[in-house]
Amino acid sequence: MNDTEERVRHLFAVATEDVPPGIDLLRAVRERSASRRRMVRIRVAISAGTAAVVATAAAITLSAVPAPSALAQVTKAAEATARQSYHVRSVTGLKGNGPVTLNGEFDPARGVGEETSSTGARVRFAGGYMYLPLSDAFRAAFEKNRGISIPAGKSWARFPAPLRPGGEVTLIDLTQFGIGPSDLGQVSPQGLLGLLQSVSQVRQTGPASGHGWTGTAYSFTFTKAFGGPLHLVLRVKGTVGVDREGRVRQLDADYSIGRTRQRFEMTFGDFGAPVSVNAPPASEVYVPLGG
Amino acid sequence: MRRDDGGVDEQFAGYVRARGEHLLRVAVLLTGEWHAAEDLVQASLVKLYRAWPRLDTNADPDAYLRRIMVNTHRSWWRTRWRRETPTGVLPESVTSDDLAERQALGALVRQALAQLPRRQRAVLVLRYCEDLPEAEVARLLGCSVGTVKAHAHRGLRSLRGLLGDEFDLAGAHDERH
Repeated sequence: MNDTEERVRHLFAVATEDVPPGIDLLRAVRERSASRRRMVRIRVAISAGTAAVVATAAAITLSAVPAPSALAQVTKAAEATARQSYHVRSVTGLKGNGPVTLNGEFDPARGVGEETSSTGARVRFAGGYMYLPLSDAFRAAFEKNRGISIPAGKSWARFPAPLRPGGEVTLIDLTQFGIGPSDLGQVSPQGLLGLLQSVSQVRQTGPASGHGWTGTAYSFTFTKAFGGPLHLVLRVKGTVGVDREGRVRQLDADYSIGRTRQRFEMTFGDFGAPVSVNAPPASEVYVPLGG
Repeated sequence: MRRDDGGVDEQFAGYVRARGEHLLRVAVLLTGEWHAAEDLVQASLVKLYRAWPRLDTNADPDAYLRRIMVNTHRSWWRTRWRRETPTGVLPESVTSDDLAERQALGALVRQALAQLPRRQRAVLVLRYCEDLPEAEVARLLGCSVGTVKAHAHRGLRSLRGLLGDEFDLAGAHDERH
């Protein structure tokens, strides 16, 4: 073994000795194991119930194709909306704070989008990254948190966070960058549309309408546990308005992550409109380690 | 199958108790941070648990899990937005200057590793943390031994470049004490 290899082994040993406390490697296995046992019990119950239903239904001839379920309508609308360009306006606020208005434009097919708040905060998505303007407050908080010095001349910071047409919810905790959670949502509109594709509890509540559209309202709930030592759980409860073209037009939601509680009232529109967002010039972008 | 209090097969739980910390160490070198390492090991263990009843009693679970971890990490890398959230704050609570220095060095090494291309990183971890022979690394990564050698050479060079003096002085700190 040469010196270089010996040094690498030593460095790897140092890099792996500060194991944080509280890690439970069996947690996911335990949860899965419990969920499978629940599923087996449910299957048994359903089997018993199904036998009774089949006995009753044997004498009935179905003459119509059933309408898609509320769940199917909502997930399909969210999927369709998350695939096309749109403008979004959102009023959001933390309990005890005044409302903040957000305006955004997103084109998931091109993977670009931008959101600006009435407080001046901004977040931009392009090319698989999230860009945050390096304000003085952000620069100071980031440098303090990470013990680094950001070079002069950089006006944006870049982090991996691509926009995807749907899929899983991306949790972006902007508070770690010194940006208040009421300035910009911790979950982007695209993330909320992704969330709608994963909801499991949906109920049709009646007709819905807004400026230039009519459709159907649904209520939904969603819970997602994020991995990691903090065991953060995202809980969302809200209503969604779907227009006759099957697109999400209104999304009102109360969500909580940890102790943070926030309400969104989002309006989607201008579907198919061009979105003029691009990545900032590379020379102005600061890329942190791993960014 | 005997189960522990959490409903997990006792033999499997015993395996995780015995090997979990080592797996976590391999995972943090692959992912660059502890949060993602925990996620990677948990996800890999879920997959291993599914296969556990079918595993031959003579089979080496480490080898099986190593393959799962490498493949899972590769698939995460391809969709890295999903797991890699921008964190990485250096630890604040330290008890002595020496410990603080070691923790800072550890964080630097993880961050430097995270900057290497995925395959270079995987080769370095499998060669110098897992101590696997080149042929075994090649089999795991689905490439030739020559490619493994090339990745190892370039990876070591890059790591040295990224860490500078910290690389050349590695081990010297300990020898002073």
